[in-house]
Amino acid sequence: MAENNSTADSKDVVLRSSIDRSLRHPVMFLFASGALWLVLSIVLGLVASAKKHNPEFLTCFSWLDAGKVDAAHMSAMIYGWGLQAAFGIIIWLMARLSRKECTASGIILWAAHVWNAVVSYGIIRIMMGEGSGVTYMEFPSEVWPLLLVCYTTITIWSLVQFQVRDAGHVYVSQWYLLAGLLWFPWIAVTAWVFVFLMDGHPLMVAGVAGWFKGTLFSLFFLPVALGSAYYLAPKVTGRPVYSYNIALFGFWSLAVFGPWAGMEKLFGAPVPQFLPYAGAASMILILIPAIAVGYNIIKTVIGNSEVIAESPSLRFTAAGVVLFLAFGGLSVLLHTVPALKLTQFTYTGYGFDILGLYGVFSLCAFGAIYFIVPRITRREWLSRRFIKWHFFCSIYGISSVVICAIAGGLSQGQGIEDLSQPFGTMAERASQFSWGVTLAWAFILFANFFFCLHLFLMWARLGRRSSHPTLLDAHHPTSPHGPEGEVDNYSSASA
Amino acid sequence: MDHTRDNPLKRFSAFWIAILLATSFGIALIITQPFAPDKTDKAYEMVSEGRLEIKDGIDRAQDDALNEAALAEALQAQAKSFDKNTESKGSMPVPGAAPTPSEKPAE
Repeated sequence: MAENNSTADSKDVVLRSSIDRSLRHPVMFLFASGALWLVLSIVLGLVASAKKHNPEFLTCFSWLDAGKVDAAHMSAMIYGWGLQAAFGIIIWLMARLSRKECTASGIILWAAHVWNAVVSYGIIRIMMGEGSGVTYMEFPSEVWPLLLVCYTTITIWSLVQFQVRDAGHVYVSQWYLLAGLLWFPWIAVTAWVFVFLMDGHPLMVAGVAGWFKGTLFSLFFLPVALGSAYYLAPKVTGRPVYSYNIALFGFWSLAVFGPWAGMEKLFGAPVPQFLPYAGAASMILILIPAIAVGYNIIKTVIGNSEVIAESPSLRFTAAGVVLFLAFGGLSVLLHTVPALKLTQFTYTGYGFDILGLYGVFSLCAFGAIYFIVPRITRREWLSRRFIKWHFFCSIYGISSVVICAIAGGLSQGQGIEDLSQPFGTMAERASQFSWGVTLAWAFILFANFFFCLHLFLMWARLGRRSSHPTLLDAHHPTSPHGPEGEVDNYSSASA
Repeated sequence: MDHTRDNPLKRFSAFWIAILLATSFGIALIITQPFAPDKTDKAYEMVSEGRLEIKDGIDRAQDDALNEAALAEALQAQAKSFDKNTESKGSMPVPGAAPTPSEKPAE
């Protein structure tokens, strides 16, 4: 019996190793190009933020006007970094959990190159002042069909792998990944058709764009982040998910509340009144899946504080889950009727969006990348110092961006409401907060510069040749990495 | 493990089902578009005929009132005296004009 188990285990090790090998090139390309886009988007965010307190900054370059650079910053973060990181996580996790090798890695790699070319074209057009001007859909109209074709070409193989998986258990992570895979084409195709193809009323175009903005996070980025967290938390701690019932409840509550998000942006606009209220209600109710997921994952990892402290993957993932709880709490506070009056046309929405995109999604994605990359490159991360800088500067930076933008936005909102004051006072109120945001982006840039450098060194297979993972243990008697040169016996078994 | 789940036929059908799922939202929109309610604003449609009649009447009246011969004559008169225009006391200075001799600093 023990011999049979041993044979099955060794077969599984070989299978996992072959899955990693089959996905090495597309996943590394997606992560590395995503990291480059992240650095670029942070540089653009820095410039955009500097222009808010110093409008004369870089005015000599017309392609860096405030409107263009703001749009390019968010587009690079969403389509350059966010979606590519999500693709890498989805295709690797789905292959691993379905226990199927990828047979189309060349096609995925090709589609990933096209995706990058199309995003570059879109960003250049935005910089030339030829963007669409639609929030979160700033690329010109011809870009969207190409992006949708690339999306389908990259992710369809994961749906096929899920369909032909060996019969048995479907993991919680797979629920989220599968849902995200199918929800994205729904929201993207619908938004693209209504915004760019159909000759609809401009007000409803704004409504559809608001809905796309809300659901892109709640129905794509969030499921991918939570799918990754539900994979890593039990994997790294070696414990099962605390409660499958709570996981099921969290998933379905997100599926029910998520699709209504976004229309709160039209609060006060001449649209049927239930639309913004439904959007605001759904954003408030996001707290329910946040509590369900947060409680479940914290209960799964609790009692393993050493593992959380030492494992880069778990540390980033745990931080992402905690920030998801903060996101849910803030969502309740910022989407009540009195708060919406203050946040409608101010800086607050930006802080809240960045909390979702960087604080929740990106931290979970970093956790996944720190876990996946050593397995597909068969090398360990070079420097725990780089990882620590990445973590602490990211946490400090994102906290500062969110606090400054939300507090500044609320102050701005009070300025707008105060009719006895001139309108310029409102802008002055936000000025000192935008200094804080600029400084915070500088910290995030520092963090991600080293992350990007580290990732490229790993891609060049210059990582450590050791079977001992790079842990963040500062009190190890000799080296936390263990002996070098054992990689030849290493076969991804620890995954 | 049930290996009968993974075969070329299953993969082929899964591929096309996935393509159909990914594109079904667009297909559904295209199919339902003809059944969408008329986009015309009914209130606007009801008054549009009267408003267009008023606009036509105004256009006709303006065309009738236009005396092109008198207009051409007036323009000719303006053109003849154009070069005789002189700067009046209230005219604005030209931005960036060269300083007059009296404004030049002493050398």
